[in-house]
Amino acid sequence: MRVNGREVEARGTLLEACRAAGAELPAFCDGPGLRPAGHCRACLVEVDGRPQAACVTPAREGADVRTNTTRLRAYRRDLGELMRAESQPGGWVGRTLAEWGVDGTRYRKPASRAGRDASHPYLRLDLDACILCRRCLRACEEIQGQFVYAVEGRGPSARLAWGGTPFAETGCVSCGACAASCPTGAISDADREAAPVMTRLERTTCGYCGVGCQLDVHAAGGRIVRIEGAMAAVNHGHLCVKGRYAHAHARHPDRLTTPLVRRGGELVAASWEEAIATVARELERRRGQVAGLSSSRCTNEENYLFQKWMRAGLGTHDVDCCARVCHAPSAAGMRAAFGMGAATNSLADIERADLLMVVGANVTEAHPVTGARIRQAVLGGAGLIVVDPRVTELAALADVHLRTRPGTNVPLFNALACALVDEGLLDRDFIAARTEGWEEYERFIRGETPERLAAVTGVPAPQVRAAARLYGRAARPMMMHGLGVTEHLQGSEAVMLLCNLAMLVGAIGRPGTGINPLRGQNNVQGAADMGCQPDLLTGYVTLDDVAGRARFEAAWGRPLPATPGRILPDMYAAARTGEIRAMFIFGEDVLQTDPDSRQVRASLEALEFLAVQELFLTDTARLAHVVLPGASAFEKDGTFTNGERRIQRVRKVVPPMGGARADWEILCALMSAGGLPQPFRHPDEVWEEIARVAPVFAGVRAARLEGDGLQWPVPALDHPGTTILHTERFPRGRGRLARVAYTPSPELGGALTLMTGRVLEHYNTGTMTRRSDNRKLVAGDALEIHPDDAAARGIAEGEPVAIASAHGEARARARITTRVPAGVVFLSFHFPETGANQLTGQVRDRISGCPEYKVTAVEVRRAD
Amino acid sequence: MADEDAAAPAPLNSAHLRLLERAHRLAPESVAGHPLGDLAAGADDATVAATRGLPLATVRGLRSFYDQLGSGLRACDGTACRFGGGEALARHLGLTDTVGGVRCLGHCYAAPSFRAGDRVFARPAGQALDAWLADADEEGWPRAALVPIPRTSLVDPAVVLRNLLPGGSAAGLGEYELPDGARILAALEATRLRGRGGAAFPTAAKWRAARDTVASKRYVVANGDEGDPGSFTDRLLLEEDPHAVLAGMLACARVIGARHGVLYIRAEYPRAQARAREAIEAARAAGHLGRDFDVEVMSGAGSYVCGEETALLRSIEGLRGEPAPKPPYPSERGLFGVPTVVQNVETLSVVPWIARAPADRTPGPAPGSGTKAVSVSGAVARSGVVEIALGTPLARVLAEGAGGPLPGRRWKMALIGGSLGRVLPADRFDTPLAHETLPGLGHLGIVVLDKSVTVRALAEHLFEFARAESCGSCAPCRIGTSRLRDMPDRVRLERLLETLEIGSLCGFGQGVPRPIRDLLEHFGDEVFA
Repeated sequence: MRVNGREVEARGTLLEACRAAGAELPAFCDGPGLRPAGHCRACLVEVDGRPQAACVTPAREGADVRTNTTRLRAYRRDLGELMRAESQPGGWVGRTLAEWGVDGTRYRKPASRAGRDASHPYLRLDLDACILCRRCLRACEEIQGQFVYAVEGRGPSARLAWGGTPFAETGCVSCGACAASCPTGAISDADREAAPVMTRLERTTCGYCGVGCQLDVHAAGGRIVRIEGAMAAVNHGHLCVKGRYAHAHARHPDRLTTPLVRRGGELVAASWEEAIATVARELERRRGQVAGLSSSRCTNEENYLFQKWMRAGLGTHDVDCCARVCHAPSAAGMRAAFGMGAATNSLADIERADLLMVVGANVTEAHPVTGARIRQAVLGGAGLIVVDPRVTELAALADVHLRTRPGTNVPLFNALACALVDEGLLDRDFIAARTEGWEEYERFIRGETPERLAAVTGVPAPQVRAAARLYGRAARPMMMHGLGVTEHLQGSEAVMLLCNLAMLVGAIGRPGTGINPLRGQNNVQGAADMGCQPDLLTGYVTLDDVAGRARFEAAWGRPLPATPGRILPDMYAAARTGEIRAMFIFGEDVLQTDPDSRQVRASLEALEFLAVQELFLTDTARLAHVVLPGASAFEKDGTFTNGERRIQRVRKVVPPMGGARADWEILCALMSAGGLPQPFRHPDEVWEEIARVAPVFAGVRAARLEGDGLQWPVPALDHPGTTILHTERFPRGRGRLARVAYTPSPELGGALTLMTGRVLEHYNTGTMTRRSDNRKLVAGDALEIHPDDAAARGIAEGEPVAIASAHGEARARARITTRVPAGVVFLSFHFPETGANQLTGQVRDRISGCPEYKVTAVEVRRAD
Repeated sequence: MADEDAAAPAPLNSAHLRLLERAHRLAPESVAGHPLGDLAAGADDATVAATRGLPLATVRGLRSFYDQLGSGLRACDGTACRFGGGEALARHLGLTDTVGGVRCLGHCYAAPSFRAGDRVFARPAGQALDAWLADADEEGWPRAALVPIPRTSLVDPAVVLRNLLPGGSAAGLGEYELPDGARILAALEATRLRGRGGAAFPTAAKWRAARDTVASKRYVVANGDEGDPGSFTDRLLLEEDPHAVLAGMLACARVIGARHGVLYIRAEYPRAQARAREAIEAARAAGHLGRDFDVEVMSGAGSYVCGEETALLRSIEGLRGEPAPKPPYPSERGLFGVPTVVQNVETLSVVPWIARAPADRTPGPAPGSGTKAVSVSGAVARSGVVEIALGTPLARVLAEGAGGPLPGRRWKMALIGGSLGRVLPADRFDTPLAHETLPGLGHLGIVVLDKSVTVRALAEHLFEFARAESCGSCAPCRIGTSRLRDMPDRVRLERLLETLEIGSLCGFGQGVPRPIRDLLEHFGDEVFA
């Protein structure tokens, strides 16, 4: 076909063909990620002399397309005059109309639509600028999967609407996709109003959750002025309220800008030289009784350096990271089943799956961009099974919602497996070729009937069987799970049972399938990958792998102990008994995040020396003897690894605030002061060493991480990375079908069972999100309680309540809702004044040691 | 459900639709329990939002799209009523606006008319307006009974009206002995039947496309949204010969392999809905429906644009009835994203006749021939439905089918095919009625206007219809239709007509200029007088 006389391939729409031919068209209502709709009619072209809207007309062989004829110019001018008669568009549309010579005088103008709204902290709406292209509405529906906008009225009275309330009171999840797609300025980001024109732009990786969205960050004058979603494999331009808007923490006055050293009981400002020397000296003095906790918020390079420092510098494997308190059971369970403990598939498999099973994960709040992707897949026709005691957003959309009692995952997963087996929904070839232990397993599982276990799980057997049929009959069933699976007494075992389900139906090693833990922290995958675990070196090399260990000893020039160190809960215990006398905590506020805060405090107070490297003076940092001011993710170079094993670049956008320093520089200085000088001048160089010691990263180099990065394993320099694991065989050979009997948690059986978790607007301890306008969206933690439980206790909506467990007490406001079943309460842990982890106790996963955050016996009463 | 749908491609239509499906498990087997139905039944927005799991904004957007929800009093503003005493009637009813709020109740042969909920009142021909209104019952409603739709045929034997003329009798569905799908399709191909709704698309090609598109389910949709002012043929068929329409749907289901049909009938035709429901119940009771194939009646809610097939499907899905760009065509991706035949009621009603008959009884080998039931009203002696051979000159239709002019009236012009149709001046009534000679004939409702009607009055009537019925989805039509009336001269008006015609998304905005251009051509500056 020809466009303005130029030959182009007839592919896609006429609009795409015209763009390919270099003819830009004013397609106001067309946007990335949106289906063509044909509302604005501005992209009209002539096809063999006949006017057609380019965006909705398929390209056709032999067509002769003209984009700028006299007739079309006259049409566009008239269309522009009509648009100006209806609204006063700004932005791209306004500029384009001006270029067309539109002066707004040709047609009668009606009164203003009077549709200004500034009720939302981040979004501004002004309907007088709206041309009803509906990009906002379609972005909300087709990208986020929310339905905030609608068109009200018909014909000339049609207008954009959001339900007749102030915008802030709609179901908006503040993802900003509408503002990002608006071509007129009718919907805009509040922060853009004050943004300077000249900005510096960097592509980097979001520092919030483990999805790993790519950000285009604009900075000016050493400050971040706005953030846009990048068109990348992970997020396709989309972001959530945290990634797009909650960046104010990076330049917040609360930031630590100088090292602090304790003198006479007070933390006082000190020089870097003094602080570094003090830490190095105090740790060296307690060599053999030092433990380190690394930071899943920090880069791979920093995590690598941290564990190297602990192991080679201080001679201990007592190094752990917060994976211990979230997905360590996933790693342990999947290692037991498959021989490797990482997500088997990729986020892109969500679009390939025909059935999604989401287990113990509130994805739309905790991993919003992945949640939106799941919503889109389901709205597009994929089936959905949700396992969760709560009615999450996804549960409301599910074909089957298995509403378990908290702490009964093991019997539920066994019941699902039993239904698969006794209804014959099995991939017998896969079981025969790829698994071991089938005969014993079959004997065991046939007794675990949904009918018998319904009394334990609270899930009626027909629902379990319906879910099993959906999962067993799907061509490409994909499983995703969260901390609702792992943070239990039998967390690791429950993960093994999920692996069983996938193996029974052969849903592993193929596109659109697999077992995929949704990693919580931006780099919790990377922290574990880098070896911040007491039993595993970088790249999951085990300590009993003599050759592997020798590789590290050679590279680091120091001998390494052969026996594993302590996991985090054991470090606390050892601190209380005096076996551990000093700790270095890197970027974690354990007093808020770790269970049984009283015990954590007692442990930290028992230490002779505590050093903390942080952005803010957290509760944990307040206990330290030395506090080192680190850098935010916007202030340094490096890489994060997301939950699909994708290593992506982190780039310095602004310099570290005040006297703060990039964390890798601080670590190098500490290692140097401790007698283990590092040669690295830039984080990129660290990969040379990682590649040398860890075979799964042998092919990773910083230069290869441009664009969408690499998904490990990357065993060679010419290897493209691995999107799907276990396609041919499992690392351990055959997959192991685990037989697991149910052991109830000792915390079950109380008056109420407490689950803890996140809400959309805040992130973990809220250190970052509370220092942003997200605080205007959600100002405090709420306790979700069922109306019956609230009524029995005389609690009214919004009232302050006290929550008490055997371990401590917390406070929040009551939110009375049937989202939680009777007998179960849910509390978020974003605000320190709540004290959610005062409540949680000492029960832990019996394999990995992960705390049981999801089951605590509590009582609730109205607070005075 | 998931395994069955796995092979289906992701639908192109709005994510809203998927939410609806998810929210109230609407698809695929029934349109009963539907947010639009809830609104029609009087539920408030918040209740519908809560019970259907929809955002409030969506429900408000839905309500505000349709103008026949609720049971208010509405005077007909169709062309025959507008120029047949409609304004006087509106004044009598106390409706301040000359637009009573409904554009054609299909009682054009008994104008003027009005609607009160499900009751329709129309002035019997020959009775004076005042006398009709004065003879009222205790609640104030006119006592005069509705007269049956007059009908006649200029062709013998009649095809469309075969059961409805003296001596004919409407058959029950069980009396139609339909052959298998392949033979039905062959018969349609042999007779080259084209759609009677206005677009004249070859019926066999549409059905074949729906049959051949890979899918797990398919739908038959009968388009009973006869919105062209001046047209009442489909109402006649739905009220008096519904089994013929159902037989046509059944034939289509056999051809394409559908198990479910929807008969969409506009809200302005409450009696047609009732008759169709009765016919379906009777056919179910006799075992002819409800096993391999079933049909449900869905009521429209007041929107002319819903007669466009993609808009009609959105309306059935419980969405705003806005047309979608084509392709994809409904025969590939229609109702709930699966292949769907949308066919006009009149077309469907002749299908069983064609399917059962030997090939010599054809409705015409070429598009210009075959028969068509046209509706005639206005300044003629005998209004009603007239079956004609396509290609018959208008003058002959009016003389032989409608008895010439109403005594004492002199014809000025005729609006043919409704508000997006054509205008012929009286001196051009020799024009043959065929899509080839007069494109844009629509459903061939003919309203003859006498010399008392000014060109400006008809023009303003057309402008008002365009403004009131534009759905607002695309910019030229949404904004342009409400500016037509302001245009001071021919140059300005023609500029705007060009923008509407080439820029609009669907046949509505593209068709609005058609009769206005005729007025400009035949009457020039009288349009602005």
